[in-house]
Amino acid sequence: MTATLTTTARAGWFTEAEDRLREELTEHFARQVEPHIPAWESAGEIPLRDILTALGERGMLGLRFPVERGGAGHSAWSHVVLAECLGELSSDSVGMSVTVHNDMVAPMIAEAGGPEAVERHLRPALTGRHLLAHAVSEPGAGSDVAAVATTAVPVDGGYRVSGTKQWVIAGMYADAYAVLARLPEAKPPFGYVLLMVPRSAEGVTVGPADPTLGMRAAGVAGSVRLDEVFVPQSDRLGGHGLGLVTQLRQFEPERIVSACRALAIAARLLRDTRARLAERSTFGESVGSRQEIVFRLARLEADIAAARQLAYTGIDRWVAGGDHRTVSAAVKLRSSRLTRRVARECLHLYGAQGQLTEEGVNRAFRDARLFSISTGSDEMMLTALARLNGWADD
Amino acid sequence: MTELSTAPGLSTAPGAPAPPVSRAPGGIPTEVFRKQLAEFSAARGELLAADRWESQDPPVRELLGAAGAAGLFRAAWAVDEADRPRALWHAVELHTAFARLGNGAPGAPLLTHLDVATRLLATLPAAPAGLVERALDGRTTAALAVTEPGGAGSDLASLTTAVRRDKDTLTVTGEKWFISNAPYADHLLVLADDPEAVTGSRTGPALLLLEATAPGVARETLDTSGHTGLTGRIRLDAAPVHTVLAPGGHGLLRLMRHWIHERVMVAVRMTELASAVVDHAAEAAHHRRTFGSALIANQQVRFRLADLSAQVLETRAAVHHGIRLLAEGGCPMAYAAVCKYRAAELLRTAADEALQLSGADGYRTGHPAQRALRDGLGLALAGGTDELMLLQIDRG
Ligand SMILES: Cc1cc2nc3c(=O)[nH]c(=O)nc-3n(C[C@H](O)[C@H](O)[C@H](O)COP(=O)(O)OP(=O)(O)OC[C@H]3O[C@@H](n4cnc5c(N)ncnc54)[C@H](O)[C@@H]3O)c2cc1C
Ligand SMILES: Cc1cc2nc3c(=O)[nH]c(=O)nc-3n(C[C@H](O)[C@H](O)[C@H](O)COP(=O)(O)OP(=O)(O)OC[C@H]3O[C@@H](n4cnc5c(N)ncnc54)[C@H](O)[C@@H]3O)c2cc1C
Repeated sequence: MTATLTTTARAGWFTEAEDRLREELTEHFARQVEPHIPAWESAGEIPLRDILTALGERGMLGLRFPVERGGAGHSAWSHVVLAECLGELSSDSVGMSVTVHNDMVAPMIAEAGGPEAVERHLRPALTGRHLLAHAVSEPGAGSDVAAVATTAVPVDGGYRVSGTKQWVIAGMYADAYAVLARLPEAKPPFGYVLLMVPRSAEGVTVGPADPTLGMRAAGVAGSVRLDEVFVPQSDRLGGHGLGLVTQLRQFEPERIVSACRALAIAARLLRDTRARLAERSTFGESVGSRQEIVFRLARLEADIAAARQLAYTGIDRWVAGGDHRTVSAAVKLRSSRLTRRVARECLHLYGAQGQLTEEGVNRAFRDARLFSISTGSDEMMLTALARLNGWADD
Repeated sequence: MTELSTAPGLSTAPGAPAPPVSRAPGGIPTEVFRKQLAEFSAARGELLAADRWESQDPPVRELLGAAGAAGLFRAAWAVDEADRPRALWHAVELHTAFARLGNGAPGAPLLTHLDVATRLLATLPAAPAGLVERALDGRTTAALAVTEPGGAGSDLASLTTAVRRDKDTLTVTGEKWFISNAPYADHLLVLADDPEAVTGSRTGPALLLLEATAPGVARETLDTSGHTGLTGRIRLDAAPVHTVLAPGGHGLLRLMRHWIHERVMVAVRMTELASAVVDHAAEAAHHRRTFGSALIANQQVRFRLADLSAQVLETRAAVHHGIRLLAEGGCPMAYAAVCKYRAAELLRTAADEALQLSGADGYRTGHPAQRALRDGLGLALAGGTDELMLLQIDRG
């Protein structure tokens, strides 16, 4: 996306302080993170702890959480700034892992954790020294979150948890997992608990995932096995029986923040592709000046510009305490599909060079394909939208 | 499903008109070959296992050797002009069968071997004697090296690889990349500029045969997202020319004619890859359960699959017409471009949708749709990009 359109898109939405934050983050990432990405990607591993610690030291984690819980008391817009800066990075293994930590698990502790959970998990997480991951999905429970089979049996002082989670971003790096488990008498949407499970707890075994299309340096865990793991009551997030509700509620704002990252990725890809095609010439003219190419890229720019306003509208509603469920589902759907399409188009327009695994556009295509699948697939967003509009068929 | 047919008995009634003759392309019996292909795949399960084709060193030569020994290439090869239709429809059968083996991956080097390198060599009278025969037995293979990292891709006018005379030998210097089967080839068919008309009487691109192990030839396998381990980079540093296949000024012309055949065949392969992933997705949707019922029970899922199946049928019809035109001896460049463009579009849509329908499982390496998506994006470039096809369609 052109720089001017991006500036125009942001006009009126961000404060000067947030603009400064963006500058700081941009500079920090450009110096400390981006230069290392090719090496990290080829090693298949990112130093997530170092990345988060560096952000923590600069006071850039958990900005929107209340001061008394370790945050900075800023608004959600500060998290949008971080999300957009993460989207500027050429590895979404970094972007997604930081997001899981700072925007998926940390918020649940900040909002639904008791004082001990905050001390044990949130404060250290916001320094970047305690890594958080999200273990919800299971072999039999992906879209259908309520179908989780992992069971938490209430015992004296807490729960004994058994079951197997699969597909956990940063699961290989994490120190603690937010685990959704059913109570023996679960009846959706009630009868679930959300528990913080330290990786060091007895009975926890973590294994790597099989190779995937993208997210190859995200430390994805293929399985997090819990065998009679004891979790104290104080590490429960939300009420006894309210785990699923707490979880589903957290997804709503997070999806808007993630959409902002997705759209930043799309905008970056368009910008890079445009620059490349301006240089590349065939049949005596630069490819980027061909009308077909100009129109194709311009259409995608328009789509991104519009989707950005939907995302910002959603953030605004959320910050203002309004109902943002519909916007959340809509922008997750629109941004995931759009970023997938932009990545695919850009990959194609890079020609054969884009086929090289190490090329940024190739990685972006492979990483970005996950948006339509994870944290609520496109189809689940369609289902949610139909339901919110009152069109449910049951 | 109801079949459209004439009522039983009607056509045999005395005095009734002769039964209608199908005008659809094909009509050449291929059942025996189909059975042969099924037997080959049953006997070669280990060689065709998908994970072997996810490595940087897939068993290309082993496959070509086995397929050659089993007579698969000869079955799809015309012994004379009159045999061409039979051979073409057997080639269709071959690529259709391989689209469903090893997540479709082994079909790529097979097509490059048969329908790019061997086919091209067979059209060149200067090709060394016996080379085509040995290729048909799967004992030797070649790669067609045109594309260059610097510039020459869609537009071959900017070719920088060049042939020169060095005392009494011709040598080539330059670099090629994304050359299918290059890491496994015995011979390289190199398109090189001939600025001094050392290969003939004219300047311009010449097509040259080089031995892949000759001095001055360095090859490496590229690390790519699709066609894993199947394409290579070639550096030529005063590498000796073995044979001039087409002299300066004639190289490109030869290739243009060849590409018509190649594009239609690649379109067959892409269509059948799409068909395979749609079938796989439909099958998987019967087993995967969410919210208490099978995925296939959702109308939205069925409609998406149904839409894709219609697109497969449509593209297959278009591509089979291309085969008919080839069989009749002339498929226009623009129609070959229609086939390649449509099939690339289909494959990318079908693979992306099929991946989506499998959720996280589809994101996993080893899933057929994931492989087809990676390969499909490469196929939209190989042998002429979508945009080049559109330019040719526009030219008519
Ligand atoms: C790389 C990677 C990282 C991940 N990281 C995490 C993580 O950190 N934590 C975590 O908990 N999970 C994670 N996941 C899992 C992810 O959340 C799930 O993949 C997702 O919820 C979809 O579930 P599923 O894969 O089981 O697909 P399924 O639920 O089996 O669905 C398959 C497909 O069918 C569609 N579908 C399902 N039901 C219907 C219906 N009724 N109607 C129409 N369509 C339907 C879905 O949208 C999907 O496209 C990750 C996955 C991947 C691939
Ligand atoms: C899997 C695979 C196998 C291959 N095998 C071989 C092989 O065996 N031998 C070989 O020689 N090559 C091979 N190639 C290379 C292939 O032929 C080239 O990638 C292709 O010709 C395009 O060239 P390029 O990559 O340099 O892209 P470019 O020509 O740089 O084009 C870049 C992008 O711009 C578009 N574009 C270019 N010009 C225009 C225009 N005027 N108007 C609109 N859009 C335009 C293109 O369509 C493309 O999307 C292979 C490629 C792949 C991916």
